[in-house]
Amino acid sequence: MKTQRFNIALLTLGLAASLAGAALLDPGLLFLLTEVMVILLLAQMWNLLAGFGGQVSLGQQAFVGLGGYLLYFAANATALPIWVWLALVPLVVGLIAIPLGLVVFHLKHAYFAVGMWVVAEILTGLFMRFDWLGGPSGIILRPGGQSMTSNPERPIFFIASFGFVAVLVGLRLFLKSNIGLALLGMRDNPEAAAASGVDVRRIHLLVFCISAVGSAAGGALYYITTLYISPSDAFQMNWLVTMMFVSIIGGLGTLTGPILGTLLFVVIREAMNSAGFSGGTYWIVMGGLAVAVLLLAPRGLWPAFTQFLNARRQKAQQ
Amino acid sequence: MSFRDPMVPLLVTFGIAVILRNLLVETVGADLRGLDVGGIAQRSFQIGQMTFGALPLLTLGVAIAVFIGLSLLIHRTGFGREVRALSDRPDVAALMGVRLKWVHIKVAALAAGFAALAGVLLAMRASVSPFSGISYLLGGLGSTRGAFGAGVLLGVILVVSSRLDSNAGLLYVHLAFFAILVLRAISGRLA
Repeated sequence: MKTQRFNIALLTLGLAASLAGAALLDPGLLFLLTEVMVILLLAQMWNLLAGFGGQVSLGQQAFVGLGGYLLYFAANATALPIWVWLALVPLVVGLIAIPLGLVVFHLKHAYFAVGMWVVAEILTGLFMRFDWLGGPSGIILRPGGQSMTSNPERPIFFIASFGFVAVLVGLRLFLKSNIGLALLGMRDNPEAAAASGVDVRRIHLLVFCISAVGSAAGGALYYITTLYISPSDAFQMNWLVTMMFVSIIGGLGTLTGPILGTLLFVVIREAMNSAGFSGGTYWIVMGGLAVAVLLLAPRGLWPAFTQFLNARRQKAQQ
Repeated sequence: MSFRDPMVPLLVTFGIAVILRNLLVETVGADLRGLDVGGIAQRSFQIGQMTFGALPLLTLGVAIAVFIGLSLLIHRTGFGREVRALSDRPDVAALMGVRLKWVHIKVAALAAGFAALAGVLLAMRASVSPFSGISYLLGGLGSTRGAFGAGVLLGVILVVSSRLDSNAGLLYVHLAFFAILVLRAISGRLA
């Protein structure tokens, strides 16, 4: 009952904040906030697969790129409104993920991680060669053959922001459901879970597909705002590095962790940008932070923080 | 470096790779560059009808020597026995007095050294940038015994595919690698 009320409050608050933000904020800030929402979504999807599912993938940028490219292709080739495609494209990528998942789940642990990375490399190579998608130089977003007339940042921000809140509530419900509990059981002890009648492969595949859908939605949302897409950008390693660092720093296997990680990620980036540091220096700092967190508090900052609070509370009670 | 979660070392390595790459970009720049090795880069031998470059032969020789040396190290020495024991049953190896942490550190150092050697050989015959390297990691993964064969196979695929289709890049190498990886996994030869 309490969690249900919390979920409804979260949704209402998210809806109000998204509407207010989309109506009131200036376009520059909305652009940044949309990117924040996309990073939040991508990180949460990587976290679902790696933190809750125990499947570390180094190829999630494949789904980001696929989402962006499919949206561009579908919107440019047809007269349907781009919003229809924005809703459909992630589902199509989710369908593509099913056969892919059936193949890559033959690989375990590090092999799965490297296998997914090779999949992303293969897709990059293929899209470089697709001349009808502009090849290495990429394509411009021209829905229905026309160039975009109005700036879409307000509706895009609303969709990204409210979409993320909805995904968050959806994940809360999912993790409380029987499948979610089975997922956690599988992560902690796959043999015991399988012995208790959990269909490990099916649930892994489900989580893999959800993660693909979310990543594709993130890619589609992000590349609507850029109006231009190219293979070396859409399939770039930085998508993966961002998802990973954000989840690891904040706390793998918690829903709050990636949110904390994204906040740190964006705040440090903007602070370093305005202080005049280069992008390379920023990645060095983030890499250092991620490695330090992995070595000192492998579960991430948020779990370490709650643990610290609990310890203090217990001490105070004694 | 003993963690509850075997994924932590992978993620740490990945983080270090991101740091190193950006450190290189910041300090020496992102340009392609090669190593100047003097006249040997142009020298070649004539054997029968065929011409062999001195540098490629030297590279091949070094690679074969390293493989033989590594194979002897792993299969013929006490240290190699510790490494094999550790990869099979770390818990039992620890009970027999193998210091897991030390062996891990030595293996990591060896692996990094060989990767660096490959980097030097690569820089001698082609150009490198802070962004190269990633794709060359493929050959060795899978098994120790088949690593040499896998490396040769992927190299041959690279040469043949770039001859047939000049802007293929590493696409066919990646496809072949992925196919081999999945086939090995399906046939149960990938632990």
